[in-house]
Amino acid sequence: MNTVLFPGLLIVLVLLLLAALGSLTLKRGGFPATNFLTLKNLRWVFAVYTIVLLLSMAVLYNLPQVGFSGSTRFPVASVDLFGAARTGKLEQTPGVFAKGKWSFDYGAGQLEIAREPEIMIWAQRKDTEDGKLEVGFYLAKTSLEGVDYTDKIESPSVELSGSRLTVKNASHYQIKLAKFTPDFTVSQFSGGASEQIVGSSSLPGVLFLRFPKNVNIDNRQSGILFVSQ
Amino acid sequence: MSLSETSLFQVAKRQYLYKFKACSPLLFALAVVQVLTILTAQGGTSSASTGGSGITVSVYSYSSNLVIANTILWAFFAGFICTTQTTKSIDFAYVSNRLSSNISSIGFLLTAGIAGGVLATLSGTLIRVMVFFKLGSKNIAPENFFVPPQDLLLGCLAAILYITLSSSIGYFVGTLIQVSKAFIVLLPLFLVLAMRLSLGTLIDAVTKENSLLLFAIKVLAISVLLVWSSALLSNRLEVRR
Repeated sequence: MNTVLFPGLLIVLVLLLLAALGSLTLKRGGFPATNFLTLKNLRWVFAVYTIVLLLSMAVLYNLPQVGFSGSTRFPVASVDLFGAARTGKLEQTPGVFAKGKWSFDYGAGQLEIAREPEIMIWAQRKDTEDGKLEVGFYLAKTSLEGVDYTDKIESPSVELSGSRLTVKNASHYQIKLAKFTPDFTVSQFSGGASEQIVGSSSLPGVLFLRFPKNVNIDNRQSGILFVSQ
Repeated sequence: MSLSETSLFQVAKRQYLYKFKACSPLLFALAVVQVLTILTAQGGTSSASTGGSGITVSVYSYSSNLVIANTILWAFFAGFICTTQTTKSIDFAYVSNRLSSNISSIGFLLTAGIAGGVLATLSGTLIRVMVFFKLGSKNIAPENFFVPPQDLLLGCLAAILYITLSSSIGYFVGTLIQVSKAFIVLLPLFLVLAMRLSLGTLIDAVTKENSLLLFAIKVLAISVLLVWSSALLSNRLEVRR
């Protein structure tokens, strides 16, 4: 929800509630008494709420501290994945690994590539005519808000049918992450602003195609970038 | 002349206890305000999403800032309600004077400040436990999830001070309105004018103070000044209207 609208609406709601309670208290010369709203019951509600909060504190300090997402922080954007793809040196770049690899036998001639719009393909012509199309999906460690979600990223599907290479996105995967920020009553005295956890939000992977010298790919197609020789 | 002599402290103490019982609906209101805020903030106070390569990551941010902010609002109302005729009539259940009434009110406001501050800070632990059982640990960033006890204590102290300050402001505003209903119109005008002059600097001096000790000194000084002014003003009022 909108970060400004939500707290604003909530504060208005609380103001209305307090105004209603206040006006009832003032008009009736005391708190409105009904069968439930007796002073004794009101005190019980407060006592139960206090006990729930105390219990939650006890529960929190007894929760297991393992199994949390992204327990290990690592420097993000330390690997220039796209720079490595541009120079065709993905395999040689430390921190980059192949999540998926495919190899297809392919003779000579024109190769047509069908891809989904969000998939960017880097293509490199080989020096040899080995009759092999080699496709790799490469990743570097990927994080958001300090949480490593590299393992959650799935390779796209790659199929060769005749002279058509089809690349499709993996099924959509959604991750919901919760992060906690220190209360302003704490951050005010512990170094100013609350901690902002940095993360990477760029496209996490690169699809790299190596094709034989005697294969042609239409270089006017958008979304396909050719590695300079 | 009374047959039995009672000290000011004893009268104030009796009034405080009576006031505490009579104003317990305010504590109920505190619980309602906090529970409402906790429940409505369960979706997270802010979120950010990113997508690509078949993956969408949505990040939801949680804290008890809204609970604390709403408790500060509650404290203002609590301070205000302490000055109304209905609440003031409690004072006349005993043989008392304005001073004992003010002392008992200050005692009640301090109690409300402590209760509000502690509960608002502890609400953060309840939110954490609820998110833990709702999403599971694998979907929670570990940073700031486990609050060190010293941070919990620091948060409680700071929240108590903020809430006490807010209730003192409410008490002062309430007293001004008891003195003259004209302040209902004059106060917002004064507030706008003060914001244009130097009230912002005063607010910054409190909210941007990084030392807890200096923050406490500033908050207590302002609160004492407000309550002392309220006491002086209320002494000008008739004994019972």
